[in-house]
Amino acid sequence: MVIKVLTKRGPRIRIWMPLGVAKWHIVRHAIIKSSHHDENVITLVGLLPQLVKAARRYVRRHGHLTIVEVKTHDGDHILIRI
Amino acid sequence: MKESFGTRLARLRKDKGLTQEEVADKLHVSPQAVSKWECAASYPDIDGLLTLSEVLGVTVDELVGKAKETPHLVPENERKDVKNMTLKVTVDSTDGDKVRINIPVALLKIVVESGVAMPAVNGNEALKNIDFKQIMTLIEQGVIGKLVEIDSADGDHVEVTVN
Repeated sequence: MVIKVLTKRGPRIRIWMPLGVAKWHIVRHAIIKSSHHDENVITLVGLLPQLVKAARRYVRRHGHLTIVEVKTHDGDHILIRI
Repeated sequence: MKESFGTRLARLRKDKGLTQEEVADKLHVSPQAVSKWECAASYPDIDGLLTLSEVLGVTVDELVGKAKETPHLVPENERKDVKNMTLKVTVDSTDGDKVRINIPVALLKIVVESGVAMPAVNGNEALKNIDFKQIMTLIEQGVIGKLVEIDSADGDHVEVTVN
């Protein structure tokens, strides 16, 4: 998975991250945002292997998957792509 | 996969309840010419496009596939595998930020079937009330195109499209 942050004036950042690592970052983020014993997070953790598998299958068929693309009004461009 | 001109023309013609012969008659061309357009063996000229758009009651943009897709039901034998479909969420905020989210329908299906609440995008209020379970039901019934369009009170524009 690659995360690109292309700012208009500042540095251009490209972060490559294995999908297996990225999924645990998603879990960590979900846990931080959730309250104690949030059923959604528990279910989400259980679903992750299936979700990663489905995403990998999609990428195999289509070449890539741009999950999120943000273009801000001040010219920054953020891209999360598998 | 993007809908071809011929497929779109055939769909719009059938939606209008017209036969190839009736369209050909209105355009003063042969029915074979209309058949060729629908089979992508040839294309109408600019004048033909204008007349076609009038006959079918659509804009030229919609006819050539430039306009955003209106929701429509795909016949069962022409439906794509859910694994090849993508749900696109676009958010154009009033301050000029543009967010595009692409979710493979296969992923959406796993999440919806599990009953997990879909996370809102960066707290966007307009997205909170979208019923993704209902959207998944529509997709499974063969409905594709722009399924949701919201102009929120704070000026954000949200669209959910399936293709």
